[in-house]
Amino acid sequence: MIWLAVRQFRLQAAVALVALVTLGVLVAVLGTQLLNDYHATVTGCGALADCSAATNALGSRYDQWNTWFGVVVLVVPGLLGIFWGAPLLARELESGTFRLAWTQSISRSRWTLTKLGLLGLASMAVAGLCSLFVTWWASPLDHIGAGPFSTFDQRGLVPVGYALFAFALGVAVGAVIRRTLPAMAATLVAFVGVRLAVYEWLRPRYMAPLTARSPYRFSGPGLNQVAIGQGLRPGGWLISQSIENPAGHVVGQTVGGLLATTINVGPQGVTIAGVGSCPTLKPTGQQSIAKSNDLVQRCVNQLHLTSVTTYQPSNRYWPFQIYETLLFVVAALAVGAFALWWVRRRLN
Amino acid sequence: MIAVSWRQFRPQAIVGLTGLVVVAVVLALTGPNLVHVYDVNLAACRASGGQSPACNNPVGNTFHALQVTLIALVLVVPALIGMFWGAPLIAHELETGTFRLAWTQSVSRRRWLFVKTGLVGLASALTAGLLSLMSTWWFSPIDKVSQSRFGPANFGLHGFVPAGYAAFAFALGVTAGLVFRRTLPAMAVTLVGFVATRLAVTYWLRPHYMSPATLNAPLSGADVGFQIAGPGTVSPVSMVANAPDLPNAWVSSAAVVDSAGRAPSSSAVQHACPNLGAGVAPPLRVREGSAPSGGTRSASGCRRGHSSSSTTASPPWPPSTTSSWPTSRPTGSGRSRPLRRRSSWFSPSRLPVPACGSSATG
Repeated sequence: MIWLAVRQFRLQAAVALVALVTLGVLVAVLGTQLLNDYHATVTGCGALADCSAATNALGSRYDQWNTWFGVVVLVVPGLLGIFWGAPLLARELESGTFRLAWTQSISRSRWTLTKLGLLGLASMAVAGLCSLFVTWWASPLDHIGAGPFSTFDQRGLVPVGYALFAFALGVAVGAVIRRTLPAMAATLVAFVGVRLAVYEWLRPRYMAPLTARSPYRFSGPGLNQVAIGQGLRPGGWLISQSIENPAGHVVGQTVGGLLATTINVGPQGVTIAGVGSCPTLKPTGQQSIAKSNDLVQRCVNQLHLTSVTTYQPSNRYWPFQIYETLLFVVAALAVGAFALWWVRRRLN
Repeated sequence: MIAVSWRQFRPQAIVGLTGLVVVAVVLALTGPNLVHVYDVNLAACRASGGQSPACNNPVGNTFHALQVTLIALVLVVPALIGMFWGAPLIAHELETGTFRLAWTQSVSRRRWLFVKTGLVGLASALTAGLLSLMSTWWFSPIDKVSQSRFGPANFGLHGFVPAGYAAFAFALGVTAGLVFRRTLPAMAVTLVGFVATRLAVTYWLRPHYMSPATLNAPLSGADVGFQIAGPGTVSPVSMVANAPDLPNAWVSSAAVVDSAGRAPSSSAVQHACPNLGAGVAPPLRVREGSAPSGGTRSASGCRRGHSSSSTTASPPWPPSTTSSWPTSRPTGSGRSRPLRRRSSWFSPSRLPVPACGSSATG
């Protein structure tokens, strides 16, 4: 049975192997070059005035490759689900070849389990190797980049979990729909939906975010923007930002993530709409933007406005990677078990 | 024949239409909100006389997830059309043998192929085009802020190019299906072929549609800057020009050149700026982390030109203002060349010429 499954899988395996070798060679060649450039420019920049020039130059030189390698790791699990998972059962059901298999001495369960296990392991290996290659390649860039959470789903362990889940999803959808093309399309839509939902709603909640509070620094007229990342430690993942008054209420009107309100500086003092007013702070002499800014900042201090930043610190990167991988592996096992049950009980 | 083609295409058409309607509803619901955020912040910016942080980015991070989703959608839809509409169109008939029935009717092979490809091909271009137009409308406040029409998330994803991509992907899919006669391999080949073509056009062809215009600007004034790259003991020092701020232009290259149009050699740079060499304590030490984000750096620490008795034709340093470094300064056998920054860029329209005496040619 394993022999048969391998024979049926031969073409797809060859395609994947060629793609992996191509990626590996590309990564090896470009990676050595990147490491050389890194050592030539960034490593020695501490002896010079300005490291940002060297890091910016390196980052922009490899920006395109970084993006495309990231895209490869992002799409490989989806492609495995579409091209390996969805046709696995759907094609046999569509073309009727399952009849031949089931009338041999092999039980339906063994037939399904062998196929699921073999290709599931292969999916994990392909996605894991892709991720390993790209994680190694990008390590100098990640070192000078915007923190580990900005490339969370393109590095490390998680692509392995995504691939196993996409594959199992494809198999289950194929068993239910019983036709290859619709199964492939449905797999794609469902996988992207699950990934987006986890990214948007679940991932920020794996652990309760840390909160940083600091007196609000007024960064300009309008009070419409919190200084981004006030109190955030480097490499952290910014979850939310707000301005609170001493009573702990979020003040100001929130429009699309910005705190927008009107500030009046005049003979009545400083008025911050929806927040409060400081009647004693009246402008004197000639008005200027710097002077009004100063008045507004003093009013902000009087009202004791606090900038509240919630974030996930960078040292939670690996716990988050493990949680998300486990989440997708467990989901994949559940979906795979469903496919097995469907083949045993529901298919005729 | 048209009726048969339509019947065969109906499930795919329903999926495509449903997708378009969902996108249209989402964009129609969120678009006005985006415009509102833009207007509110622009008003705050104007009221503050251009001093508000809202001036830097009047749309902020509004609907960030939706922006990313929309970009990804317009990017992948042509490929999906090629895979799911193009590749199976003929391959599925050949694979299942249903073409035999079609060909034994009164319909010629040619008409069969024309009607099928014409109908679905038109639908492909229309679907991608409509999606792109909706996305272009939705992104208009963001594009007004980003001012980078040629940007990677802009050029290939706005306007009508996605319709062209989709038509090509569809044709590629149909052809792959005819050649391979099996759906799955045809789909995989279509995906690989389409992605390879898109990448080749983006990186090799698109920069050459028209020869770029060139802007020469003196290395002075607030807008002109440079960085030092390849410093330290390992590699020679060289000057890297900062890309100028040309709204909506596609800057293909920027270089520091002298009046003869040559790049200053690394020995010239090191000669003029000895403090940038190895082992010398730099005059401006900025700790990592607190460093300003790139941008224009001052050339303090560099010698104001080289010895007039020097016989090497190294460029003078730094011509920070034209008055402090007249071009007619006699320097023995070495000619004095004020450094300039040369930029090449693409733009369909005439660009506003920067005020500091620079000129646009081409």
